[in-house]
Amino acid sequence: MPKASRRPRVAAPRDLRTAARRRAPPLRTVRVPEPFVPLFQRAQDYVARYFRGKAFRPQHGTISISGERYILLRAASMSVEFFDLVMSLYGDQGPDQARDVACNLLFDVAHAIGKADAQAFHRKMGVADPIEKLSAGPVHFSYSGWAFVDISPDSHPSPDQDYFLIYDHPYSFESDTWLRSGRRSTSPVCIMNAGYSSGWCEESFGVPLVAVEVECLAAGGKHCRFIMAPPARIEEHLARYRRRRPRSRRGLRARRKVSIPEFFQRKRMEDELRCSHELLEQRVRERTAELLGANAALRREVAERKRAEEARDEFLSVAAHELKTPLTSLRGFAQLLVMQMEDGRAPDPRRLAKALDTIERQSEKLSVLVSQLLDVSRLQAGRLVLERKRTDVAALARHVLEAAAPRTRGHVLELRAPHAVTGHVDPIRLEQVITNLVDNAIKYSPAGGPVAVAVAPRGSAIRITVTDKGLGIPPEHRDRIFDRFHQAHVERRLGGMGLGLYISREIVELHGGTLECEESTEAGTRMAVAVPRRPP
Amino acid sequence: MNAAVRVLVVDDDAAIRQFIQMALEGCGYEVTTAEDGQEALASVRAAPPRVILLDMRMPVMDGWAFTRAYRETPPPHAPIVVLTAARDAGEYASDVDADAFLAKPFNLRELLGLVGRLVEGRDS
Repeated sequence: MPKASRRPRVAAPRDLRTAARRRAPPLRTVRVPEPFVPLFQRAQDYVARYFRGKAFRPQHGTISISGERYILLRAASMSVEFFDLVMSLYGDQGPDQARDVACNLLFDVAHAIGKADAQAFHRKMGVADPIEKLSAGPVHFSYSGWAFVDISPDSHPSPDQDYFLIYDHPYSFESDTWLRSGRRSTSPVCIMNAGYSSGWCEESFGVPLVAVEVECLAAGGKHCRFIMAPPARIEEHLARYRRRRPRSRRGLRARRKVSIPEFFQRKRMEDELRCSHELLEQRVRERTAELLGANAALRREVAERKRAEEARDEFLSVAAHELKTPLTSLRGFAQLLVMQMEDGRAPDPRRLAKALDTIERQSEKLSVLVSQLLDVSRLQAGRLVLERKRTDVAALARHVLEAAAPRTRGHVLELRAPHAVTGHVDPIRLEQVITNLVDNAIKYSPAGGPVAVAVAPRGSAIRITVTDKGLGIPPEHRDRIFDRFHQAHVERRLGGMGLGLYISREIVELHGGTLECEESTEAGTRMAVAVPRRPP
Repeated sequence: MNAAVRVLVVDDDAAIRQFIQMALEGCGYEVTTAEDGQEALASVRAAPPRVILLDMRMPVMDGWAFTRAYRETPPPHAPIVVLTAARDAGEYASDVDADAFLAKPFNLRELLGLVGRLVEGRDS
């Protein structure tokens, strides 16, 4: 193991550090961290069997291994001699330019071979796990004479952007050809090795990968050492590797040259472009969804506001109508009396009494309407506050019926209640509720008939019911009678702004109780209130 | 001379019918009242009025429906005065092609003057 390459790393899911305790490896064709040994042994067995079936048939001009055709290349022709040839061809453009052309060609060819070999082996071995897919690669690499692979336990081969592999190639065919010919390079030469390995791994892990040789025997290094990572992360890994290496090391004289060659840049740019394109598309999708959502919310809000505005307009028009109607007769009777006095006529006492009675009733009506408007405004602002005191609710109901009696001739008002039913309630507000229910009962039984109020304790609550034998509430309105302004739209005949039940329910609910229409048929209606005897 | 002049008051509010009736009777008109358009239609058939004072928003049959039905009865047709508490009194009046309108709460003298002019206009 290359000790120098060990760097303290944050423990990762696939930390390979256990290799320090590695026993004598039964693995001979590759060196890997301890946890992966069994896996690579299987690959070694497989590849060994595979290479046993090799057949050289010069009479046919074929070499085949387990039925697969191979070709042999002289290593130097693909490395030191290849560089020389390209240099001589492209020398007029400068040595750096020529070197880049050679590197580009070699890397791309080897990367393609690595990917293709990996694909073929995955098919043959029928493997799916990324590490298992990787496993045949280094072994095949050894058998086919490219190099020996020694993977550092500092590696972190995960199939994502965190993929990181640091490994050495002792006996790299490329650096070897330079050393054998007594040549030294100013920059690392194991280009095909880097291309092939990254191609195989890219195929195995399904993420774009590049490999850079950071130290090369042919360039004065102590090893042929490689770092493999996704193109977007490679520079970061290279920078970290350089920081951890003492500057005085000879192998790093060529540090400047280790800078990522152009073909890596291209791959990284493609990778980044793809990533940013995907990111962009994702952002566009998200933004579009956001905008669509915002649009829909806005449309809903506009529609709601419009509905609310229409409801308010309708309410104002109904309220004005309802307020002006009693005002009309107030003003009318007043003017009538003034006219009679101006004419010098003594008003007929019976007519006068009638006029004053109407004035009284209409001002009462007006006063109720104005109170309702104030109540609604208080309720909406949350400013309606109860003033609870110990109250006899039976007496309250009796009082309501007594007050209602003069307002009707055709109804029989009846109270069913024990002598006293006491509770802690707001007497004025609860009286308002019972009055509203009794007034509704009278209003909605125009033909007259009984209106019965019952008060009784029930558990910890007081139950109050108001029953009439009137028109009943049509089923289509039953759910909406407690809505603000509701009745005003449909029951103009009987007047009111449709606020009574809305206010009553709000008052009862402020008490912690309930107000419901218990029953309503053509034979009558029963409204039921339940209020806790004590504040909840 | 007003003894024979009949005015029909159509309004769903009893108090309003009442004071208009008292005021008109005080001036010598004969007054019939109706609570809604349907009652008013029955009334114009039984006793044709010289002037109709018409509320618009009423249950059963409103002012609009009444005017349509009334105009389909054989002539002569009495002039119609729209009395309404609605904001758009003028609009309501032109809806039904009324001869005049007063917004509630109106001036009683104004109403009596209007009825007088309509009756005289028809007389001359």
